Amino acid sequence: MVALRFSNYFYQLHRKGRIIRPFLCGLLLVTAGPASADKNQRLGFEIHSFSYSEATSIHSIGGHWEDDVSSGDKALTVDRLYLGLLHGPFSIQYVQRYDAYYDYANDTARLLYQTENKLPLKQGDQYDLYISEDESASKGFRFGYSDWLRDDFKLSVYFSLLELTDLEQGELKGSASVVDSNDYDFSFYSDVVYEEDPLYERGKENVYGRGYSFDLAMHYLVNQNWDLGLQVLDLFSKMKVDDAPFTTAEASSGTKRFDEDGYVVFDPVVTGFEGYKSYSFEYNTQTHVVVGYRLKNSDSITLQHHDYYNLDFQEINYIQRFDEMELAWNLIPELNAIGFSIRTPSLKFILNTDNLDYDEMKYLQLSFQYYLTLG
Amino acid sequence: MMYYKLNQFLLVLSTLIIVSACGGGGGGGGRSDDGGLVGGSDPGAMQAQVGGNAVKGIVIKGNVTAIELDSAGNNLRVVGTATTDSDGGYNLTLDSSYQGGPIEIVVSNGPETTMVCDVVPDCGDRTDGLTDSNDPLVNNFGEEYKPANLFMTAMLGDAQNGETIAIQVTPYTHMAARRAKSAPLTSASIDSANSEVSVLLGGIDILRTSPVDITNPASLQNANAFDIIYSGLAAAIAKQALPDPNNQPDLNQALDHLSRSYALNGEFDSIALQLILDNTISVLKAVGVTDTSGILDSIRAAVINAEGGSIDPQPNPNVGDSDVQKTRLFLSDLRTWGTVIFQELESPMQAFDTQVELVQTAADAILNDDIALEAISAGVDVIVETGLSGMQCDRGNAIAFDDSPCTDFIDYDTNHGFFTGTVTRSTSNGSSTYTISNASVNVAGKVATLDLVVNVPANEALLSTVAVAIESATADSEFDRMVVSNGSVTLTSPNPVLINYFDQREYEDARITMTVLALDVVITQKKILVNGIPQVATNPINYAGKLDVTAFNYIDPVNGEGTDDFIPGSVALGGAVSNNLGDSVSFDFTLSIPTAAADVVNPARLLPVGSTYADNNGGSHLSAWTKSVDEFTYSNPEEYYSYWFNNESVNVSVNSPYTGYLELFHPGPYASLDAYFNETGPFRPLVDPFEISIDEQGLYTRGSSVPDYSQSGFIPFTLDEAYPVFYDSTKPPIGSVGLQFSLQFAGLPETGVNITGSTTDFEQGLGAVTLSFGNRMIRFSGSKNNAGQDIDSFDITNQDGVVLTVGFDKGEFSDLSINGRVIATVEELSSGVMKVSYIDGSFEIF
Repeated sequence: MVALRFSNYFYQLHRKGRIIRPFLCGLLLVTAGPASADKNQRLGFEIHSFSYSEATSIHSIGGHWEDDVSSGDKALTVDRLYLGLLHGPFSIQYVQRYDAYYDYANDTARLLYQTENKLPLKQGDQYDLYISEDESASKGFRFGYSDWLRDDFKLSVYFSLLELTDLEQGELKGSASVVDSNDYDFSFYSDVVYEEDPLYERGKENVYGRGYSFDLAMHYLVNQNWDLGLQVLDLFSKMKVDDAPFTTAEASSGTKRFDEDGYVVFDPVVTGFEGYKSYSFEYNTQTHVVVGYRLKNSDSITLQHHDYYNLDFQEINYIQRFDEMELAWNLIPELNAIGFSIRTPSLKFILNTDNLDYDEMKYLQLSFQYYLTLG
Repeated sequence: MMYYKLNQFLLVLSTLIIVSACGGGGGGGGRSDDGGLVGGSDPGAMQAQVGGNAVKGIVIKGNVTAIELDSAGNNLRVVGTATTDSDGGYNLTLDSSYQGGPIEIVVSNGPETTMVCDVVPDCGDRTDGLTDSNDPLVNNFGEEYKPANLFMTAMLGDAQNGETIAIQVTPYTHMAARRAKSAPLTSASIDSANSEVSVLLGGIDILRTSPVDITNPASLQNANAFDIIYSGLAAAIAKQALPDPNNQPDLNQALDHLSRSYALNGEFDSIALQLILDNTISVLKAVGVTDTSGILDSIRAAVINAEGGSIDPQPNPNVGDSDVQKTRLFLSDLRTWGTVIFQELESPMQAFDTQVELVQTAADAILNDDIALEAISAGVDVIVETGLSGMQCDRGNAIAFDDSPCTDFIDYDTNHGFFTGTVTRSTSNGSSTYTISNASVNVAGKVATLDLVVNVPANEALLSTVAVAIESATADSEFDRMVVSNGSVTLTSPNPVLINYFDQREYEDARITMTVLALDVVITQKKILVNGIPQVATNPINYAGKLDVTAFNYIDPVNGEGTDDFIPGSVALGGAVSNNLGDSVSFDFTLSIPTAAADVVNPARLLPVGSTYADNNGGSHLSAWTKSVDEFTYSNPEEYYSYWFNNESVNVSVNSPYTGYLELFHPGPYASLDAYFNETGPFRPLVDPFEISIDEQGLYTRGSSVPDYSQSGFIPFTLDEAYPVFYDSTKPPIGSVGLQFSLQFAGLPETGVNITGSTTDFEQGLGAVTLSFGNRMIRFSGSKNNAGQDIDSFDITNQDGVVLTVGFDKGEFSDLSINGRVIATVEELSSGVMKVSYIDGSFEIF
């Protein structure tokens, strides 16, 4: 029972399918094409999706719990879709975004894996139960300015006005102790703000929230061989939520039963409060730094540093140039991931992963950009 | 899961009702059951209990006084007092002087009153002389000290009889009480004030949320998030108090400061609320607790959104609603008892299961296997009807009317079923004592042995009620042994009966209309019926207690004579039942059919004497036969024959109990069916009854006509004696059954179990199981509305009128309501567990 509850947190991520859905929508819009024409105008479509699960595969932590749990205590997915018009240095884009960060005690993931698969527990073992969730979805418009202020320096600033479309933020804390190989006790409390109650099945209610976000990017050409890039997403942000449904609750093992396999099943006892509250939150800031070095044969090597609030890592790229196309080979040693990128004047595609089998992936970065010059 | 559990409980309930009903041939309705508590006291006395915690810090040995107020807020009378315990808790019972008005609970300090310091880091200088080895000069956080002054109040609109009311006394209830007193006191205005302060504090229920000792980690571990936050909010007040001359927080000053302006205009200063918020966070931080209730977030939002520097909390009709608390307690009881009882059900030999089974077995043994009881009745009967005269000895067909009673039952006629035994009589002071020894009696085809000693009234007494005292009796049947240590049989006649030892006709003419049997008995079970077959009981039960039966004798409306037909008006069992495993339970069982007396005068059905069986049975006959060329059939209730002819080369086929006999003596083949009968002789049934008794109809006799079996025909049986049918679907019994016993579950108070059943007709009925403990109860009741169904719906109620209805077949739960007002909704989550959502926003899952 409790395992099912915890799994729901992660299942929401999987079920909502926000990685795929915006992509399809955007593609349809782009292929429809504009009727008017202007050489200085471009129609742009971008989708960026980044997902990572540290302790077990993305598929497993999404609710399946089929893969063993190793060390690790975090998971996240950050997804963006932009669709809009770029006119000279100015741009206006429709934006959809989904941000989800999970911190959890590794004990919690291990207990979930063991109980979901009805594996024998070790009598006397104690488990920390902890899950912190920060998940939101929003949509709106992004206004941008991006231009080379000097021959060697480009500045991009973006300001987004956003409306909240989904929300699930809160945490769960508690502990569990193993009574026998097939039996354990637990207690925890949870405090969650949401659009749809992930734990106690309160009826779905609309959340109403509005806010803004400010992104910044810079590109500096140091000399013929070196260049530097900096991108800070959500440098400043604020989302104000009005009357968001929330639930605070305490739960304990309650009454136990044993299923046909002799494994414990709980009828938990839960007491809590369901109400509404207004509050505000900020998006987690993402920082990406790029250092590039051009080799003699016009190929390049870049070193990137990525910081996703609760995850940071480095990436090495070897970039080959073929006329108007660039092909990059990507290596992320910390995450045991590799990938490639293709870039042309109108298109960019990135795929990085640690495993080609989706069910076993812990890391997946997918990015697609397409610009259609009008006229 | 819950459905499963409830269904299990319903199964038990149904069983219990059946237990009750089987003793009375269907049981009955009519006896109202108000769900009263078992062993309850005077229903007119006020039974309201008021209790809670007195917490600024925890107030220990504080004086608690309940004062009834008039509408102007003036004290009318003290209606209860108590002293707080070491946890700050108090409980008091409102006394009989309470008239139903507003109640103010006042907590004040006395010489022995101490309070736990919940101010970080301390509560000033120690001046009370209490031993303090830690830091003798300072009242540190978590230490008790004697406050220089303390006066906190809480207010309640009213109390109803039977209510258990939770009412905390804290700085915030004090604020609400002050606010309520600023206007004429009504129940509504008091509720409004309490609700306003609850809303001000983010929705926490100031009256019913139980604050704990925030300085004690053990207390915090066992408290829920709301209890903890309320404790923190209470602690925050002292931090705002100005120091008194001893550097201790001046609590009364702080309370007065908080309450004064709010009481006047209902608005609260947002800065003061911000200070309370900050101080609460400070206290929580000191004890390592974070708010998980959302209360502090709500308070913070209220501070941020405050306009003009003040907050005007509006009462929320659902916050602080006493009905929510009642419903919550109801579910708490239900959960506690449900868990315990269901565990008992799932664990054979546990108390509930065992005791219910004992009671059921006892009721079965006593009320169904009643051969021993019948034997005693026959003994009394033979003495009353025959022995009193003492002369009805059948000595060679010569009836002797003298004072020399028979000494051997073989001298009697066998109308009463005795076939061995002796009877003797002794006379003292005019009355006689009869002793039946070593007797054997045939009762309804079963043999029982009997030893009996009875006292009969004096000769020539003229009595409307004839009382026969049973000094002792021992009756053994195949199924049980009944030993009577004391008892009586009382016969009531509308006309006085002249007792005449020498001429029984004096009382033969009397019409006995009611028989009352009262016995102190010990019954030992010997055999039980398993699938209708008697088997030695492996775990026989013993019952010691009373057996009281009141029965009404049927008077033949035609000749006015008494008959052997009677129906029980009431049956009562009360005593202890045990088995040889050491299990035992005391119980009381009652069956009552108040309409029984009228029913025997006017039975539902009495067929006319002289009518034929065909008249009464749609044209069918008791004894009839058909004859055709190739087939002959015959049947009566005791035998049947069927002959048919198929082929010349084979014998006539015969189907009857006597086929072998017929084939043996009459081998074939025959050329035709008639050839067969020519050979064997005309058909004659082996059993050709002269009279046949048909249940619920009467005794039919055949006429003198000679049957002609050579052609189709029948014997016209006519009704010679009609049997009255007292109840049928057109005239159902109306009565009730009741069963009471006590249970003791581990960790729970001794509980009275009261099971009642009632019927209004054969298709409808109501059964109820009431669990009573202390001054609380849970009542489970099921109704049966349609034939073929056990129970349609299942109501669970308690003393506060909280109602939860469960649809038995579909397992659907209703909303929880009080007097028709929905207090909580119930839904089944996808995992199968139940979620109860209250109107104040709180919820429970179990």
